[in-house]
Amino acid sequence: MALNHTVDPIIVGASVIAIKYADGILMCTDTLASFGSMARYKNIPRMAAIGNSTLIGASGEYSDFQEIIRLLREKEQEDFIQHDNISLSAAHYASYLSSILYGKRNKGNPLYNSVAIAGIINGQQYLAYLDLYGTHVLADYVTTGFAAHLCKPLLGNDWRPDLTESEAKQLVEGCMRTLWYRDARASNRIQFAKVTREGITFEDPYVLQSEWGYDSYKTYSLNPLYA
Amino acid sequence: MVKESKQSQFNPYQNNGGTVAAVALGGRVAVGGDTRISVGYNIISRNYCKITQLTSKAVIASSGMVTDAQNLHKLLLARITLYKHQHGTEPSLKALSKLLSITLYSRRFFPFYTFNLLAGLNEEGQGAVYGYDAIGSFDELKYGVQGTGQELCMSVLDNQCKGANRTDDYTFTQDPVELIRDVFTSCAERDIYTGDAVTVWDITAEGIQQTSIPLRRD
Repeated sequence: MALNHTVDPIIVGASVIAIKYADGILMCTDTLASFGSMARYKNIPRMAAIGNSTLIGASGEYSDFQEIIRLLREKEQEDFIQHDNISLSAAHYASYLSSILYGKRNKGNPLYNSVAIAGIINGQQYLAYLDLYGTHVLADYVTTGFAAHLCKPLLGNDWRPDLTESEAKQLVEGCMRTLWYRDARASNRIQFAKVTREGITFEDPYVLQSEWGYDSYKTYSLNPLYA
Repeated sequence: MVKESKQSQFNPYQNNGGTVAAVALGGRVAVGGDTRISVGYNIISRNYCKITQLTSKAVIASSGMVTDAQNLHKLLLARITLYKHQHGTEPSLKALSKLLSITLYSRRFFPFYTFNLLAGLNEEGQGAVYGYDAIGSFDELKYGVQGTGQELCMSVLDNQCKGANRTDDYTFTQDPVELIRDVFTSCAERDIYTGDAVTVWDITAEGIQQTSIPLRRD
């Protein structure tokens, strides 16, 4: 096996959550990249815009995420040079990336990421999940990493296609808070981004409100004698 | 002493589960697939279609690993497009059956982790099903089932389609679409990888009709 084969990831990002709502797609990640159990880079972006209607967010190996962004931007540049008033959509980028991921898994040298790709195509929301094998599935909401365990049920209960932006944000923020409480590799510094018919907007990262002062936290013990 | 490698080798395979089934009866064939895909105990989609239409009277249904199935279907569609451009006509079901076999065998030493059913109408207008293993061995069948629920479905189909283990005077006349729905609802009861919904494609000389009914979602 060649030295440059990613067989276990080194610098890793945790969950990504992306959901469709009435006017577009809302995506959220925390801004942490961990080195094992060390919180190594605490303020890095884990989402990126490709062109003006495609948003991508990834968990997993951070360097592989950067490579994915490089490859997609290269494709975007090729498309821009055509100067034909036709631009690649999120579905095109997702299909292209899926082929790259599949090709690399065939060589036993995968890009170690789970990816959410969001965009607006002819006014309709498009949201896809991709993984390191090249699996490509469409969904109304996408969760990667630990969020697939902790947040998918929460979204399953409360997601509706007609959520307003503020309702969507409230729902996803609740999910991110759950991750902050229970996923040891999650951070409370989170960032939202959205794709709408007007384009892509990144919000500034902020620190989640959280509450650790409950009595049951303070007196927590596994020993029933002290419960 | 053998030096132990600290790195674990990347495993390129994954079983995403799911079941596909097909039943031919006269000039008709019904093909069903559940719409769930999973990784371990995690459901990654509840509405994923395992069936792809190849020609106006043939479809392929695949279970196993989703990524391999997607790429296999894509490859077949590309080859069929080339065939149409070269011959000005769609490939027959028999031609497709051989194409699928050699495509699978071309990856003999790094197989597509897919278990396929090819179903459609043959040149005589009769419904037919072809069943495959992952590396291209195949056989023409009257009915078939593949995937995580195959053991649960097969014996029921043997009994209903072939009249196996029956003492009465039996001929199979049931609506194949109904049979597939019943088999999937029963399968979803016991197989955790089969569920959410079943999509049934009804192929006749008039064309292809698609219907979907819900299954257990747990």
